[in-house]
Amino acid sequence: MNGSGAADFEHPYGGPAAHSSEHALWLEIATAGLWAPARTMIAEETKQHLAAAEAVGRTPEQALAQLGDPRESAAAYQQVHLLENQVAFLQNPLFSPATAHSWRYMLIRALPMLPAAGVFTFLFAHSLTSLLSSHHLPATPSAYGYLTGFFACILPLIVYLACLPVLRHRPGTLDTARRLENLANTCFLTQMSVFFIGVVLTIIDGVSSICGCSGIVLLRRLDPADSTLPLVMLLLLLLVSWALILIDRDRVSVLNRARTLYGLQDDEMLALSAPPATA
Amino acid sequence: MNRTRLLDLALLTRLDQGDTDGQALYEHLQFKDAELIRQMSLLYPRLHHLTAEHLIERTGETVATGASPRYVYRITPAGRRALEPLQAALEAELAQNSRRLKLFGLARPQGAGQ
Repeated sequence: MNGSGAADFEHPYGGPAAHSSEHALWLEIATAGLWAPARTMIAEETKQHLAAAEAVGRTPEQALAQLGDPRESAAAYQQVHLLENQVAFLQNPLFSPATAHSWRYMLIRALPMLPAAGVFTFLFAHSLTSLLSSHHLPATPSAYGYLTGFFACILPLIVYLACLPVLRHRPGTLDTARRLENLANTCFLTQMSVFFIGVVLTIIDGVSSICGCSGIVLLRRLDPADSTLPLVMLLLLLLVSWALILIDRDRVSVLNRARTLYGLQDDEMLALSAPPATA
Repeated sequence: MNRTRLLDLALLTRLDQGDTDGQALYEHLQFKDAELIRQMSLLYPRLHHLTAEHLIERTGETVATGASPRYVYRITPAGRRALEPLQAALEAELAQNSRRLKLFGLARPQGAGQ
């Protein structure tokens, strides 16, 4: 280090050299927590800004002042750029784009929903059997109950599985990635609609049972002790499937941002988001 | 219109007139609005935000100033489409403020001297 050139000051994170020691300090504050490509991009750009400002006659102090408060910049940068922990999330084998082609990981992600579906099938069938019995229908139509319960409980699972072929497909282009993101948003909105319908049914069920007034016939006939629990289970099941779809949506969103802001190609993104190799 | 949207509008308006780099944007805005200059710490974050939203794009072209190469920002067709509602929102806000000023008898004729 000879102290005479702009390239003498090392970037705090090992990126391109800073314009000055003050610039290095500014970068250290403004880019804390950002992903390495983001830090490199900001360091390059601000360095060029300082050089350009000095080229039009600004003093180094004036040029640095043009960059503004580094803490305020840091808060704003963190809203735009990818953070280190977001990339760490991408490197999780379950959600990494590098494993997106693997059915194995996709099925592993769907597995937590299966036991919940089984429990819900049993509970819903019990409620349906009670309902049919109260209508003097054959008292042991458990086959109907279990069949209906099964289809009702796997509805969110079906929605999720329907998303898998699309979500597992690696986006080839930015347009494709955007379409996938929109599709994931649509799936989420669909499930949210189902959730609110479930909430409304639960409220109607509870109110009609408590007041003894005539509500929806099927719900009024149900014993609240039997009917509320399956609905709660359904809501929990929906929440699980939402979480998975939201994670997929975030994954695609992160990839889109990496592609747009840092100009990374598919192979580069896959390499960066590959899970760490196990010994 | 909050200050980030105002800054977005200023940046898009300037880029609609031609491609430029960050430092030139700073110099341009510095002489336009004292309020904007106080939020220059948001200049590059907002440029990056607009890039992520595909309203502008960043190229590695050089500006012919003899200095080192600089990144140049360019407005996209989507950015031009986004510019119109932003301008309309600002005009509506200014018209509303003008009516309020008249309500309290504070309106000054346009172009009046100091």
